[in-house]
Amino acid sequence: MPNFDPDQSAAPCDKREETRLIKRAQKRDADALRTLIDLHKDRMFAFVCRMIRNRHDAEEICQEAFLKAFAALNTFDPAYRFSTWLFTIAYRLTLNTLRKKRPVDADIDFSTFADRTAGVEEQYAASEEARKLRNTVWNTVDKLSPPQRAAVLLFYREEQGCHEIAEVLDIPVATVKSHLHRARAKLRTLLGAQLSQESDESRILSELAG
Amino acid sequence: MDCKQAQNLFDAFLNGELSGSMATEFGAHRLKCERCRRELALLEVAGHVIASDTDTPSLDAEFTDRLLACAVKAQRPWYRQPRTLIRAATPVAAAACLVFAVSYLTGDSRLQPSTATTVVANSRETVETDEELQRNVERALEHNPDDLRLQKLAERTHSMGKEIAESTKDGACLLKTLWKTTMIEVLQSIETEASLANDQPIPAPTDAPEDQNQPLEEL
Repeated sequence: MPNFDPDQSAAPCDKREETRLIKRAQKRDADALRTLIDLHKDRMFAFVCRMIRNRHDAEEICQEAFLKAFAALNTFDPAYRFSTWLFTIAYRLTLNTLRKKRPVDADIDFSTFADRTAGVEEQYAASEEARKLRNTVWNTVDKLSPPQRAAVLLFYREEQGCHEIAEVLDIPVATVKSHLHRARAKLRTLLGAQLSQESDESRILSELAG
Repeated sequence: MDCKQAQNLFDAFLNGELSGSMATEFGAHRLKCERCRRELALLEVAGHVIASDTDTPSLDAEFTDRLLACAVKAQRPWYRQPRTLIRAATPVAAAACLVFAVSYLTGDSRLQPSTATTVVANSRETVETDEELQRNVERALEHNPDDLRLQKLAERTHSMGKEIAESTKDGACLLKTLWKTTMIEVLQSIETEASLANDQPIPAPTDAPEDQNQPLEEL
């Protein structure tokens, strides 16, 4: 599993605290509802945005996902993680929207949000090699089918295991592994091609210089 | 372990599923094989890019407030309702109850069959249903202009439609939540009236057929 620190968004609380929060939320405690929203909204929004590439749609989906979750809060099974349940709802809504929409609806240019990291990392993120790498990786991810893309995002960004992803996507664990395998195969092909092209270019340049 | 065997284990390794002697074998091959090492590094770097890119737009600060306002509005009837009503409010049950509602309220015989069918079909939808409901109720009202309960229902759907039309950014959200709210309210009133009707059976009209559509409380 990748070691991904959950950036600036609120960190998920532990299971006991989550259970307490949900019990309060089931009694319509506004503070508990607010805390649940604040704990999960950024991660859910980032996931949906990456899936759908349309800010307005992503915001609507997140809103609807929370409302659906709150409306059905009494049916929530505490054996599951609340975030898994939320992502399941959000994913289904995302798929519904994707089925209705055409790709041209994409309105987010993720490159405009790039390089927000600070300090030393900023230098690397801003380098030409890093930019190319990021572009190739995300272009590949964006070309995956929605379930493949979702599997990759949940695995790497949400640190979910194959079993949890299978629950969110409502598919067998073997299919999740197959999605991850195909995504990696595409990344290997495209990144490999890019690297060999770059090494050819640098060889030609060094020959010209020599 | 050769390269082919090692590459077959790439996914298991990256998924964190490799352990014991297999992990050791895989590690040993990785140390000596530059090609496998390079391919694996490529996938690990790609995974890191996906995991750590801070490149997504964020929600505005008012998202939580808007959502809470919406949730409170949507949930208000929910926690005031008895549990039986919530369970009844599944789409199919709701559809069945709504047909019952409209036919019961309108005296059934005077309601066009197509109206009831349309209500069933529409009650399965979520978004564009309020206008349909309003039209159907108004159509039913044309057949039974004196039915007080139907008038009340028409009034409610009309005010709901107006509120939705006037809402701005949260329009879609309200559209859906108010629709559900109305459904539950309808279910509650119908259940109450139905239980009253069961407790006090309405005597069959004898010589006054115009009383058929008289409101329950006046009988």
